[in-house]
Amino acid sequence: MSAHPATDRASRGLDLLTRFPRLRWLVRRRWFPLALALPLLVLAVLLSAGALVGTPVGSRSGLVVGVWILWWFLLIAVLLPFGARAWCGVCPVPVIGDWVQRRRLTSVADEDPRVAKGAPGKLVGRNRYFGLAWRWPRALSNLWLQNLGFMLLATFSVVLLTSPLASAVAVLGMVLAATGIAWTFRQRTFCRFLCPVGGFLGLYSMSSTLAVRSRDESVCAGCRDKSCLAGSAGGWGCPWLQYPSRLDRNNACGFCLECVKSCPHGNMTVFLRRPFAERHLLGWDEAFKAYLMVALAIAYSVTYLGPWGELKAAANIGEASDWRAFGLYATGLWALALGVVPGAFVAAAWSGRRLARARVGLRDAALASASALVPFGLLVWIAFSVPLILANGSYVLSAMSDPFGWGWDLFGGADVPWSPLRPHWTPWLQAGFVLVGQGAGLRSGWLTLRDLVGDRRGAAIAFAPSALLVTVIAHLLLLLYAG
Amino acid sequence: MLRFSLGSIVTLAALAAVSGGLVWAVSSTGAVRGPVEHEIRVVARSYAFEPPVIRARRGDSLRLRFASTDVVHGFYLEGHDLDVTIPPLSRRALVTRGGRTEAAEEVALVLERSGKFRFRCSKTCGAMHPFMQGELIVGPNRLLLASTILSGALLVIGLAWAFIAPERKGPR
Repeated sequence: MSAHPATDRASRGLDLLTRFPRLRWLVRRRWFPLALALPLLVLAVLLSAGALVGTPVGSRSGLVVGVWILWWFLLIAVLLPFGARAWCGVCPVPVIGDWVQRRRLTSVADEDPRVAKGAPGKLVGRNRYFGLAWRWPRALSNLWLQNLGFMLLATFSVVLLTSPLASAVAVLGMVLAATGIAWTFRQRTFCRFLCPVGGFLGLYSMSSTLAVRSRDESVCAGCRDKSCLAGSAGGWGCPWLQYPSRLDRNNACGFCLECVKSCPHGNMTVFLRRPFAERHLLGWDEAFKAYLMVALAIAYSVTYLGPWGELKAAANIGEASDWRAFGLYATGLWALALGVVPGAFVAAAWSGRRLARARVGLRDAALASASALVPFGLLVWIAFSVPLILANGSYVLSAMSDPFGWGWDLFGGADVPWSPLRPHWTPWLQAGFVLVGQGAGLRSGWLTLRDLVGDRRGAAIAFAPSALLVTVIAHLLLLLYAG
Repeated sequence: MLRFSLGSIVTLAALAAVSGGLVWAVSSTGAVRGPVEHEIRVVARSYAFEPPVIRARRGDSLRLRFASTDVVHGFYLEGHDLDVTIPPLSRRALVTRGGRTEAAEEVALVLERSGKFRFRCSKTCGAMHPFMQGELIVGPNRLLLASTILSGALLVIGLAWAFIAPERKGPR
């Protein structure tokens, strides 16, 4: 391993596992990252169970505050930009499903497929799995179900964000669904193709500064075992149904780090790289994920952060029960996310292609233009999330001290009054994030189109309408956040 | 790992300087009138304030009266050390400023800082309480002006640079 340079600035960045041997020791332990996921599962189940019978007030509920203020902010503003899908590595949702499949917590079921016959379970590569171990249908091996699931959750977001009962049902429902899918289908099928959170984590992890990759491709080329795919005594074959030695994008890498453990050559590692390094979207499912995430960031910013009470009342179906107003709100949300924003960007890509007289297909041009929405969308979501923590962060201490509203005071903060943390910084921070996102998005879109069109001037012309659209959205958000 | 060329640094610095100058010039042009006193009755209900947006200019003063049409609400004004408890069906509110709380029918406020300041409900009033908010916009709003100019400049300069700069030789 030491023969490989720790830093490969030209391509992949800084090899963290070579640079920091203690980190390498940690990630090669079988109990990592389960040692983080298991306590999180206990916490999630406890908080959810408590939410079912505890206080109905969202801002006093440990589950609502823990998930929708603390976890959400850490996820979108810290873990995702700087840790890719590190959350997926420690996520408690699939832990029980993993056990159902493997019937073991930390050890690996490693068997030689030529001799291990007749035993219960099913061999996949060198690993024995239990349950049905079916393959997920190829037609559904994309983001469409995740897009649909996220839209459904987004439609009822007010209920989720404010009702402990609804949040508990969502969290426990996710755990149950992940377990059922794990029993039926292979490995992390739920995380790859069904988890509504996983869809946008995959998209925005492209912008992240961390990546799991092979250190030296020639080592992988000469490897006969393909342990990262098939499994070995050191680790399971990639649970995310990837071929880790050929990973060149973050989207479907769940940071479980099994490949780091299973590779007998120590050739899989974690790289620290510059932000916004990945640009290319591979299909309409990914492009639509990018479109709808930007659309939802706009819609949420208007609904939650705006001063318009009628809009909040329309979205608040859990309390107001005005189904007509909610129907209008939901229709507007779906039309914006699946019609207006995608339609505008596809039209912009079409007109840019015509303007530049570029001999590229509309699909390719639209996917390349949509790559601008990856960094832009991530930064806009961070901007949206800033006031959640600055204005409402103090709820975390009080709600965690008395997570069920039963009069406890676990951390001595149950009676701490609501006290915003520098809330007047919010517009400045939001404007900064929007501008950085716009700049990174314009760069990303243009570079991707340059790769497609072949020359920088043609790419600039082809990208101009989409760039204008990104700028218009940035202006709208600036008006909302700072105006 | 991030690499910036001297040209890009100079461009960004020039961009910031030009934007700053423009913002200063534009925002100063409308500041000739004297301070104005605004009398505003803020009505709180789940989950909105009426008026939802209050606009004024730096140096103006506000005389705020409060009312709630349903339950107890709060009025916390960001950046102004002001938190008001608004009981329903009462003309008197509990006003907390500078660590002191007293009952009052009216709150006077001189707007010494420009910008956007949200006012939020500070008393748990129902499911959407954390999102019950309004806006006090004190002109000249230099942040909006500066960020809008920067955003436009990012587009124009970015595309111009992509169009004008020479093609880079060698493999990408």
